[in-house]
Amino acid sequence: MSAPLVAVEHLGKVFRLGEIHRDWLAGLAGRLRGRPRPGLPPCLRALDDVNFSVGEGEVFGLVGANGAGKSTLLKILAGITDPTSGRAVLRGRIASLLEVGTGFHPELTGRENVFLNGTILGLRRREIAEEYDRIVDFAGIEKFMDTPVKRYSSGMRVRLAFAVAAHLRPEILLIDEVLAVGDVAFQRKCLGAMKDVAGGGRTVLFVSHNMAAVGSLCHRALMLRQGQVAAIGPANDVIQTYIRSAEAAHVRDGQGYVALHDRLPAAEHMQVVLQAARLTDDQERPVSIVRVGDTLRMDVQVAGLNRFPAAVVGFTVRSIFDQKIFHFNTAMAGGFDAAGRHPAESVRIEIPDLPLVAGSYAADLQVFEPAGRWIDRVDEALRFDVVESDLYGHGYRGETREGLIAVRGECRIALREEAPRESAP
Amino acid sequence: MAKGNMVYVRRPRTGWFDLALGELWDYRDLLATLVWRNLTVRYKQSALGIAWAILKPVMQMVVFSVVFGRMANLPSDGIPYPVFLYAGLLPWTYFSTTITSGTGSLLAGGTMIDKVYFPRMILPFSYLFTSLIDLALALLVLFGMMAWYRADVAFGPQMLLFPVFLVPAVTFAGGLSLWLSAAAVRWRDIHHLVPYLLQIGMFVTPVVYAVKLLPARFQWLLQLNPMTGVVEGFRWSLLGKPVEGWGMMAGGFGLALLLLVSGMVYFRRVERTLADIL
Repeated sequence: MSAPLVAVEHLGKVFRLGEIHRDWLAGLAGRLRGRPRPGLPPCLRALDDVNFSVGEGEVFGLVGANGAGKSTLLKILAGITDPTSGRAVLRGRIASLLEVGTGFHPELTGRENVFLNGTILGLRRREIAEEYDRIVDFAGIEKFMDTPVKRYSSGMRVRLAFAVAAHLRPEILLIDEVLAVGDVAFQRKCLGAMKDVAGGGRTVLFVSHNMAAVGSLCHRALMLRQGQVAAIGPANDVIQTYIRSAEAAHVRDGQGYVALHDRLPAAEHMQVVLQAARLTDDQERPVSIVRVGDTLRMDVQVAGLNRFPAAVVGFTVRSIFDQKIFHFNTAMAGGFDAAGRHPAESVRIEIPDLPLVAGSYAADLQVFEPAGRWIDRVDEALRFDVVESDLYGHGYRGETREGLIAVRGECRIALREEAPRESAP
Repeated sequence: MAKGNMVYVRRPRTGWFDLALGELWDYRDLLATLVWRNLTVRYKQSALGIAWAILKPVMQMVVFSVVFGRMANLPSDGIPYPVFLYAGLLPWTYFSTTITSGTGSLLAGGTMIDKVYFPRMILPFSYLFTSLIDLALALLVLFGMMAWYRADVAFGPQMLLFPVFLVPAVTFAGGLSLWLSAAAVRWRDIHHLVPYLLQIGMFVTPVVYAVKLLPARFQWLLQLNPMTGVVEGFRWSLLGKPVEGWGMMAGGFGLALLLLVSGMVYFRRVERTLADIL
């Protein structure tokens, strides 16, 4: 077997926390007055003895909670920062795409930025000139190439930037979360471009929070937890481990609740009623990832709702493109008994047969009077991913990312009673 | 992304003299693109555009001619003060604009440094060449002035030699930019300091006065300043002004060279942790 394209051995990285020299003069004055010299700032072990290797033509996913060390690992591989211990060997041309449109300058035109961005990514001007027409074609904004980028919409900027990156010809491509931007059609184009890169025998290392993308793109994956390798193996197995791990979302307590009480009311006349919220699976285990067609079960802890006996608790699910997909509330579900309410309660809402396609979503929580007056609201209180499943029960693995919702249906086929009419003479 | 069949090893770096000059050469297209970006961005959305490269030193020349030439009556070695001043002001302006923009180049390029790898030295170096383009434009005015004052200018073959004196200027500005830009990442104080250092620098360089203003026993100190050699060299080649103290000025060039090499070593040290502390 040939040597792996990427070989990582005992890689470690330590960050020093705290400011580098917070006001040296003030510190000196303090010491003269007898205050003790501050000790060395604490250290953070961002990566700790990480080992893995990636072969030719492999698409390798890196998953893990925020702060698990994924981006640090990519930065070390890209050469942006040095490791503190261990080493990584990479064989071949490297291109890193840790951000879309690095170095884009708002005052320069689209054309000028293509050359700027391309040379920053390591292309020669001649290579960019050769690819220029294809880049513009891929981005689909040829009319705006002579307009300064500051007049572009953010979507146009992303299109142009990814178009440049898609035309790099690296042997090793390092990508960090670039699929979280752009509209659905363009996202699909990007996914296709990434598949092409992998199909051409090149190696891709891909960091993402989008389990659906990792699942459909990657052969193998690695899960990091606090800088250490928590799981490595076939992508689907690692995703399963990640889904089951309680840390897969933002800050949660032991029971998987995201705290919501520590904030000011959204407006002056509003109250802080929403205390905490979580998602669980059908066995009461907290989750942040559900499968298409499963039950979405939400627990919302509230305080002081007894003062508003008629209040409605609801939530709106939005896509990562801020598109509202559906709203559901307790009034729709039939409401509660208004009598005998308590100061501290927990509300459970269930959506059976979740009709969302695979992707990342956010839920806004709301409490309001039936007449529509707001009592409390928290936008993006919960974030969750939906991953593909065997929705139709017979192993269908075709296109399920088309559109916004996933529906089930039936079909029949029968012989028509009337024979097809002959074409008119 | 460098050439094919390459092996990259990422590990803690420890050496002192790994200057990676070959890599700098591989990224020459990025250098060219940045030089041109600095220039375009600086003059975008201004009505006069690149004409400012000429207007700025000309306006300075007019003000200084009145203050130092007319009112203070500073010596100019027998050459009409405005043209004497302008020939010195041009290399000095080159030096000070390069240092000012070079010092902030790493902080300004922070998002790029954090997201993609390229030899970071390219950022301060790009301003060395951007300012050279400004200088070339401002030189046109100098040639015009030489024609106007042609009675006082000694035309001769030495005129073709003036670009030689850009070598110490680029060397000195490059070395100082490397030191200052790398240090400014750790100590933001540098940004407050640089404008004053440059102001002092202009007065310890014979820009607005002639070297002989100083007592003879102190002149060698002035000549050790690498910019003295540049300014005097410009006046010698373009205006035909007799110049003394070439030996000391060659020593000044040696100092500039030393600054450049040590600056590269220091810069490469800081570069390792640049993305972490920016």
